[in-house]
Amino acid sequence: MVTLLNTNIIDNPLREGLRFQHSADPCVIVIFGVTGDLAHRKLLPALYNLAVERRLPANSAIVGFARRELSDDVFREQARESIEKYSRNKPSQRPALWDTFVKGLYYVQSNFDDPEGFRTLAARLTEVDAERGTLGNRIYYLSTPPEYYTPIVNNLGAAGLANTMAAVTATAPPDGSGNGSSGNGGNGAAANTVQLNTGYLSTGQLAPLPGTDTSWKRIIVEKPFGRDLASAQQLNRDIGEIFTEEQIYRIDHYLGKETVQNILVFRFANGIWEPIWSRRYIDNVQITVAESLGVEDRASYYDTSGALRDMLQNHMMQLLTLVAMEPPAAFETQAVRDEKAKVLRAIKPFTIQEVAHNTVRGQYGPGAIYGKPVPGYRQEHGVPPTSETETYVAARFFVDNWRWSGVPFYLRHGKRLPKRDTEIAIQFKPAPLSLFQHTAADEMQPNALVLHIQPDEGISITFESKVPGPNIRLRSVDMTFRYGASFGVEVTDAYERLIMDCMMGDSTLFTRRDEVELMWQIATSILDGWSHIPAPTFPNYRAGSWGPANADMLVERDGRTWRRLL
Amino acid sequence: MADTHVPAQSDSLESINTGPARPVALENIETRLNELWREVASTAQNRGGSGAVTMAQVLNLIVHAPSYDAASEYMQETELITGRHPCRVISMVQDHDDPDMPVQGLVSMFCQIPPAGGRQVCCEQVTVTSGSNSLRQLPAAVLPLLLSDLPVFLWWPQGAPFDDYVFRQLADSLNRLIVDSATFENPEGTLSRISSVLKSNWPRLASTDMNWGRLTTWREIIASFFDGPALRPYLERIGRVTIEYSMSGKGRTVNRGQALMMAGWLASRLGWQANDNAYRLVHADDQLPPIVHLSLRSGKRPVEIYLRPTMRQAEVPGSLCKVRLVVPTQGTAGQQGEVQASFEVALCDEPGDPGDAWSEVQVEGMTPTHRNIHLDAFSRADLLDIELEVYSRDKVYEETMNMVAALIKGVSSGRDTEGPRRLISGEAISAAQTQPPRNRPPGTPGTPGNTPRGNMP
Repeated sequence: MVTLLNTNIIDNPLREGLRFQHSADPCVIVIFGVTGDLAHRKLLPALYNLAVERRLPANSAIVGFARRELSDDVFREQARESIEKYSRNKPSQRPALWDTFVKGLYYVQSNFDDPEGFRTLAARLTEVDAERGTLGNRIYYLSTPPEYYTPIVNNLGAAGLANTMAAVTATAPPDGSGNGSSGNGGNGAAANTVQLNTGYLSTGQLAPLPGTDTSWKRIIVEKPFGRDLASAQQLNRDIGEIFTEEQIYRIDHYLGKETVQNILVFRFANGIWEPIWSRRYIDNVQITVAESLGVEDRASYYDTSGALRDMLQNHMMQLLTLVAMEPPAAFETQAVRDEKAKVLRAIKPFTIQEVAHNTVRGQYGPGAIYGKPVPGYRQEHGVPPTSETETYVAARFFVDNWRWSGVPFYLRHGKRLPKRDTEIAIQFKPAPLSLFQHTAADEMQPNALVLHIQPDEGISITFESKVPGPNIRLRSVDMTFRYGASFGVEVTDAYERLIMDCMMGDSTLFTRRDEVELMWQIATSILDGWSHIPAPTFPNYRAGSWGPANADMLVERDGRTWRRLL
Repeated sequence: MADTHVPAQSDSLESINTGPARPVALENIETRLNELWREVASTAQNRGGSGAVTMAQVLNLIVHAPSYDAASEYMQETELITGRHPCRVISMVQDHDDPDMPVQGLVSMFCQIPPAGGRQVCCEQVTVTSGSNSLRQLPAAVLPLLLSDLPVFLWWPQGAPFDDYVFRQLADSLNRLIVDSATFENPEGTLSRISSVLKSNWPRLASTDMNWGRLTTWREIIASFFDGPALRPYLERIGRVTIEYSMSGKGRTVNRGQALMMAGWLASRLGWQANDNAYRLVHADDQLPPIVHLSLRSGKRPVEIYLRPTMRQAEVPGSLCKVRLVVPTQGTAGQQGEVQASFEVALCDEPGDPGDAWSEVQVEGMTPTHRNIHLDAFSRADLLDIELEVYSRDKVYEETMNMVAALIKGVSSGRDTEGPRRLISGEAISAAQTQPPRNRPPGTPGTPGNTPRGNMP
């Protein structure tokens, strides 16, 4: 979508017409919590795929940072096993390629709150810069439990690892033990062996002088970004003390999905939708994120989080903003984010009474999924038997601006629903007058435009058609466009896309500070309301059903129904 | 916005096929196709699906074939990409060796089912045949079959179409022409004409070459050498380029198509100019065809490009196996001049994955870097898949071809036509090619024992 020119990227005439007009600077990707699930299932495979497809600059390096005692070699072996298991490109397919990749993997063992560990990291990074020619460019990826975000950020700051100028002064480790490599501070002693690169190869002659360092440092923050407005604001302040907003990439992997990005293309590259994309023609919008899975092995996290925090506050609100936003002035990072933030500002936080009227929460009890019996939430491994955590949330929002005034946006998300399905349905108003008088009124369905996000990515539109025969009988038919993913063709993984964007310095698909706080403002008003109104008796829906009965009421009260997802 | 190209494969996908193509009167083709849509929908329903079939067509793809057998082969390749490009495929058979082949249509339908048991996406497959006595009727048979408002691609898999009667009749209706210069009988002669023929006759027709698609990965790797500011200045100082290419696997045909395009690409991107009579043959090795020496200049600085054949065998004639860019030490020139910097990408010689390759950068005063890389080996279906994603002109390709024309101006005036490959005398040693027995479509009067396509459901 948007590729912004990074100041470090220079014009290369050979790039013209190629898939990637620009390449990223080489950098070191430091993954905090590298022994965790996300790193092994998603991040390391994503980086390997980028390397195989030659998108990762050849001399980039990955430094894993975690509490477990591991040597570089053991870390490399564990990375190989995970990549073999979870990646579409397997190390065993191309051993020579793996050999080149694995040389750029390193490990640093430390607690996240131990300043000494960060000094070790700084020294290690200096060595890696010298060895690989990564020029002091860094991505710090926070893939740890959220309580460590602030200590890590503070330690990065204290170790001089957070910004360019600090990095220059920090290249000589405080204790003077540099293991023989003096880093990129301009010391020419290692000039013949130091590779200070830039793209492909590097040269000691080009080591930046102190004060002329053009290296960059960026930080990717995983969800959950806070657990309410106050904690999100605090986290923003904590990170903001060390990193500038331009350096911060709050990741929402939904935004890395092709179909989600396509919402903008679909809306703003086609002339036919914009005129009808408003309260004048649209009756309501329904955003559904249905999961058939339960909490799986995430019970300890999920039980303190719940459906609202886990899904609605971030991913679903992002989908809402993309559907509702005004056309941006330009397809550029800030312009796109400005418009998204405006949508969020137009959604007023609920009062307690409004929460009771506009939201529904639920928790699944035992039931069956795809014909197989499954336990209820409270019977899941690791969940307290009296848990009051919601596994279902539905809400009705209004975007109070000229375009959307009066149009309800119904959002619903639940675990253990009958099938996995994420979609955005734009329901149009019915035809103003039925000409087909002898047709049963309920046969006439309003038109719907559905953006399918997963699993079958695509777009479909339903309209009424005459059933062949002597009588006028109507039937809804649909016209569908499906993405390659539906046909077994893989699309770029969201993490690959987002890590690459971060390397290129493009934060369009990341969440800005005001966005995250505005989303929390809305979600927190619901959490506050829930704490003041009597909770429903959990469990209140059966696993394998479409959620609690009250969720139907939420929509039926307005004379509407949830779309049936078949 | 597909960043990643995944090779076209249908192995893992279930499909519905309406069976061997059935003959149908040309005027009834649309009716027959409608019947097939219904058949497909009911098959889908019987298999437990929702009965819904996705009727989406995004383009017309005309495929030229010199025989019915070839048409069947190409049709099977288009089936591999059905899921990504639901389209109407019109295979047009021009069998010059069969004077009595009538103009007739055959239709079938091929649908891919996504693994999750979702809905089908289908390609309508129409074959229109003609023989040498009837081929003038072919354009009028093909044109009414085109779906309106959708782009029209013509894939001409073998040889070059520019002198073909049917092509000339259809050209105004086409958006994009896809040829494969690896199959040209006389690549130099034809490549030198492509840009001028198209420009003067069909200026709106965009064209591309599968051989150009085969260079994409090479171009990406070469471009990546110069992404960083440290090495970027060397790009302006390249003085010598050596491009090595393979012989064909079957004979030892010389096809310098890819090598010339690589040279044309570098020269056009870097603003080099071809000298007068830039193209010269250098006989260096009795066992091998001559080396081509191209002489160019960048401002006043001379630039030499050598196109060197190797004994390495490759499935596609003329496939690149090595590109080396050299920055000579100032004051030295020629093939043996001193080297200040070199940038090299090459396929590995050891047996292994055919895509295994390495790249190497050596710059005076710096540590050399050697890296293992992988060059994607694209099948013809993959290349077709990629080309069908592009609807517009490819400016870089066009500028490359203009440069190729300038480099080989006046060298060879030979022309490409379809039919059995002939080799340019004095340039190649080839195994004799035998013509396989020819089949006619089912239902054709006087059909010899023909082999229906093995695609029963």
